[in-house]
Amino acid sequence: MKLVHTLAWLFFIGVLAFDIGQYLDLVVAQRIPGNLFGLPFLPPTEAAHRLCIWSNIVVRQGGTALDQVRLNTRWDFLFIVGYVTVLINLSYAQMQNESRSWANTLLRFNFPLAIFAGLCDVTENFILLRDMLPYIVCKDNYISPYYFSSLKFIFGGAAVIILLFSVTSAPKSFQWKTRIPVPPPPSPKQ
Amino acid sequence: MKQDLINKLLDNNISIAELATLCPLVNETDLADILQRIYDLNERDILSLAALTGLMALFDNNKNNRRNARFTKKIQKGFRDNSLNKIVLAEGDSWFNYPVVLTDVIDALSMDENLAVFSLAKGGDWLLNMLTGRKYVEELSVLHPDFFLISGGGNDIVGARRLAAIVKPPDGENEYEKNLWANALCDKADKTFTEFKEDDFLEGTTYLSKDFFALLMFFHLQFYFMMNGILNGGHSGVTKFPGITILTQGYDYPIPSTNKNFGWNPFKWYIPFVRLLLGHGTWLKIPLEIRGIYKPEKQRKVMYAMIFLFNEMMIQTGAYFNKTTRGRVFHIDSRGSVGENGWTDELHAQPPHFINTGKVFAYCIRDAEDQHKNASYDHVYVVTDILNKLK
Repeated sequence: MKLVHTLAWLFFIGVLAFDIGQYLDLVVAQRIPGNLFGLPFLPPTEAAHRLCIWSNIVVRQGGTALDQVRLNTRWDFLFIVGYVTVLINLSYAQMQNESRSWANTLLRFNFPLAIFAGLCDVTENFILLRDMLPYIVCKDNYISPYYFSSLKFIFGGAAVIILLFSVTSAPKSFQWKTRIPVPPPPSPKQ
Repeated sequence: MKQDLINKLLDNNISIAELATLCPLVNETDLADILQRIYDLNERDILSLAALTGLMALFDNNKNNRRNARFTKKIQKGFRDNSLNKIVLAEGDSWFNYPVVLTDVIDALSMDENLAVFSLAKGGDWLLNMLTGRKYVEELSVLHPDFFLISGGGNDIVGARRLAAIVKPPDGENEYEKNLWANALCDKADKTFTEFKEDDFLEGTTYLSKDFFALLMFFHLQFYFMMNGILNGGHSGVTKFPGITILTQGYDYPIPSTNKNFGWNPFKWYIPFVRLLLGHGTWLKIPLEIRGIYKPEKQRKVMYAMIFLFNEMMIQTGAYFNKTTRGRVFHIDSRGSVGENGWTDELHAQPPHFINTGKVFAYCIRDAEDQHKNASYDHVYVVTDILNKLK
């Protein structure tokens, strides 16, 4: 099982490194205009315009910048599986240390939060892949994934905040209360 | 003579004195023989029925690996140099290791920095597996723990729809009335700390078959065999673990149900999830219905009678060993602590209740410093009582 954990982490780190590498290559090295991650939050006309621009820029790898973005969006599905698994795993591990009942419940709530974040991300990707289809790009037929992207960040962000809160605020050394409080002595009669 | 007593046990007409005589006489072969006759199966089939396989076993191991890695870390930091720190070995079922989503009793106990808990517990494990596997014997020899915790028997009753085999519709024959030992368990029970609903209990017992009482006495023999092995070295009479204390637990009264419990509380999302995927309804409700016990109120009473007697059996078994030397076996009594609305599914409490039981285990362990003067009564820590005192 430890091997499975290690492989899962290596997989997640590998996909994350690949995503970062692609971003650096396209945006920093090849200076593709516009922010790849900000696309879902742009006004629809501007986002459609940007996709259209990317479809006309030839990149080093061959094909257009839009082809690369499409490829990265497909790779993103793996990243989604990775971060949902990691969030659930870390929350579950932290549950074993979290003695505060309410915080323990919040960590358990992280499971659906992570899954919903992942589902919103998947939906966002499907919408973007549809927007990037060759017969849709530059045809004024753009659908914005704005709401799914926002929900993704809300759910995912909440899960990360809960996890960080629990990790940073959990008592460093903990003992269950095992002393029965002694009742105060009765007050002397007036 | 031993065989006669075993036959009487299986026929549900053994006397209290005869059962007491039988306890120290039985060995592993006898236990296997009794088991085969109760279950009407050969030993290999029973063991394969009880075996943990597939995804569940994988998750069980994963959780234990995490716990035991923490145990090793604690030990490496000089844990045993401080006499206030205690080593705990836990063997048991899903109350001690619920491998997904829930925080169970041992999770709660392990949070205490003064306790290093090594876990062998596996969700879905049968007491039979624990005894035949003898993993705990191996770990006792290696760890030399201060406390040995055991939670077992639940799956032997409800696993593989076995519950249907030990209940019956009322047919005029009252097996409870015939069983003097079970009557004595009820009579001797302390009813101050846990509310005793006599009418519910008596009505519930009318549904219990001869095989239930044989199984209950078999549990008694199994626990006796296990405890005697640990505390007295079995037939040798010389223990390898002087000073070890055993803690037992006996569940709370469950509510048979097939309701998936969909609701609007987002923080209880896991209840329908667990109920949909992990066997809810198949342990209690459906086996009872198979035997024609349909009314929810009657089903509840059947389980009430079973769990009441199971807990009293555990207390009684421990009492054998506390007679000669006090403070060897303690029982953590969870009856009434979960309540009607505190269940995740038919068998498992919601995490806050598991955590509460874990707290009382910790309390009992720490109370050893005070010679267990703060027990609810005798050698029993009643969860509801201790939690009230700690408020």
